[in-house]
Amino acid sequence: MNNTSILSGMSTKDAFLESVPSLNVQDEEQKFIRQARVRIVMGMVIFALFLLLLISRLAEVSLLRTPKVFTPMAANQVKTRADIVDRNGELLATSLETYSLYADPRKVWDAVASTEAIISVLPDLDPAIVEERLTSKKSFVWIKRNLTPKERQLVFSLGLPELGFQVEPKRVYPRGNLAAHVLGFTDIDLNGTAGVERAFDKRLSEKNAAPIKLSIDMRVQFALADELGVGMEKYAALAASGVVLNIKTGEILAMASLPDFNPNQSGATLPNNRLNRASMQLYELGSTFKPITIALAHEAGVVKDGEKLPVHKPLVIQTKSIKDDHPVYEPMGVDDILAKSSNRGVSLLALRAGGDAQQDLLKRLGLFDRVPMELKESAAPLVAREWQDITIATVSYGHGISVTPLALATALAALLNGGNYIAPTIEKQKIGQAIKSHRAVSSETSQHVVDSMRYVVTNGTGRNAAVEGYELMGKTGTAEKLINGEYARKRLVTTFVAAFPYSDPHYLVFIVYDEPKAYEGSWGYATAGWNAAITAGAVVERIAPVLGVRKTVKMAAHKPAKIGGSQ
Amino acid sequence: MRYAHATIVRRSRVGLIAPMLIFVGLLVALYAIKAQTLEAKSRVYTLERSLAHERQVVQILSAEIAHLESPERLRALAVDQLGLQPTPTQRTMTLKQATQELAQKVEGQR
Repeated sequence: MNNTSILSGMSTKDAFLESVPSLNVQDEEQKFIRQARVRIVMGMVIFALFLLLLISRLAEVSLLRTPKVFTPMAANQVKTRADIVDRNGELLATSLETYSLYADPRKVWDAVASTEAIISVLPDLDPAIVEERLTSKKSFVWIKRNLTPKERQLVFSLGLPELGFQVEPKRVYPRGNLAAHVLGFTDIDLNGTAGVERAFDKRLSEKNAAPIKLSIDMRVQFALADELGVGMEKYAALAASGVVLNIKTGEILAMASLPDFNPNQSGATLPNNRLNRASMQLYELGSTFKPITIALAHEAGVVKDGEKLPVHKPLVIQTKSIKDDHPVYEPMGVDDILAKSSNRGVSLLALRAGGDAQQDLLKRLGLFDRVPMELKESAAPLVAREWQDITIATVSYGHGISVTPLALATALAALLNGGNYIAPTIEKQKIGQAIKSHRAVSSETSQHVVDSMRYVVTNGTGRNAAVEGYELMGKTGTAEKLINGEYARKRLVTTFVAAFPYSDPHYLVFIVYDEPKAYEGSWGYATAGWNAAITAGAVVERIAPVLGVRKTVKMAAHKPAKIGGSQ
Repeated sequence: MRYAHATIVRRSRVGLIAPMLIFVGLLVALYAIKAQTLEAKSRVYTLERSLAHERQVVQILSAEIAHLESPERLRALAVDQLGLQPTPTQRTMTLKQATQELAQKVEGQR
């Protein structure tokens, strides 16, 4: 528009000359304005980009990235293992956190100096092994596992940068040797390797698993182990074992084996001490088998009421003469055969019943198989392949068949509880819980055995076991050990089975001594009546009040009128 | 016209800046919440650790009690310090026996 007025009112030259400065000024201004605008836009763009970057970074940090939360020592990373308690909730095994010492050999500056420093605070370690580990090419080597708090503090004070601690659980058995064979132990990585630890390994290893309640009663267990210990010392026996069973439920209230061990130091124990003799050691248990033969005779119906057997006459089977330890001069009834522990008497009864009936009964009593319980430590019996007459006779008094003390205790429990074989269990049974059992003998037969075993304590070889007020039943057993195919007369295995109370048999105590010796006051005898019976009586005296068995006012002497017998 | 143009430009700027500010505000709020959550989480971990530690202390104490209460130790203390012995059955009597015994003594005194 300005150009048009210039061209219309003035000469082109004048107009041009007049207009040039203003045009120049306007161009300069426009230029500056444009430049300024460009700068402003660029600034804004840079600012926007910066803001965008800031926002995107903020978004990334706040939305996409989750920073790690510092967890100094996550407890859930440490392997756990449930506690083991007795039937009354008393703690038997638990797991505690300990510190294990490791080293990173790559950070070792002077292996010799480091070894010397470590040995100065942990003197039980082997310097050569420590130095070898510190000079290895690995990035992680164990120095010592499960340190005590004091040891940890001492190592900590060394200030060696190559050393570190790792939290590790350790299995602890606060009762020491008590029930060591039942509880078993774990390896250093907390895997169960023996006893309950092995049998219930899966359950114990589960996260947040509840404690396992055993059928064991700590007080009964201690009384049994204590009396066995006293007896083993007094009778100078090589070993001893014992079982206390609740014959109504099959619960094992106590199971002890001596010599024993401390499961807290299971690695430093002799293998012989770790052997659970109650469930793993096979013995020919001798005359404690005789109640089974009495039950066999009644089951097979081979004894008439009041009948007496010619036990005073020699008995030879397949050129082998069956002898009795106690001299007999007249025929005896069944109760006296058991009370006087006549080998001839039970042999005659077993021969009358026959081998098939005998084997059948032994099978029903579980004596042809390993004891079906939770513990893996359960030995299979040694049974004769051929069942000849001599086998029938010897098995009738507990020779020619090798079983564990627990197996025989379980079989005898079946004869005393009304005739039901109940598989023993190490786990506490709940009230009303179904009990797995099968009938082994009739209830009448069971009552005969109960009466006969009461008679053994009141009138027979088990008199030393009698405990006033607790109506004990029992049977002694003395067997010669089989050494290199021959029976050694001086090397005995003595046993005693006791059950109480007679009016309602509820508990069974089984005691075994391996090679007990005669002692002052035993008149040179080392037979069961002079050791195992006394221990069984002492155990019953201690555990009966604990188990709540009511003491009866007077010991009622049993009168065997039902099945005959001499008085 | 110029005024209308300026108004449009201002509105468009407000329309651009306002959501941005809201977005930034939301991000800041989210960040703050997340930071609080992490702090709470860290506290939970600390508490859990403390709980585990306390549990461990309880375990140690239970083990110590079990050790102190072990029958072997108590027996040794009872025998050595108090001179106690297991009670034989001859030294115990039922309530019925005690009543009879008492009645006999009273009878004897008369």
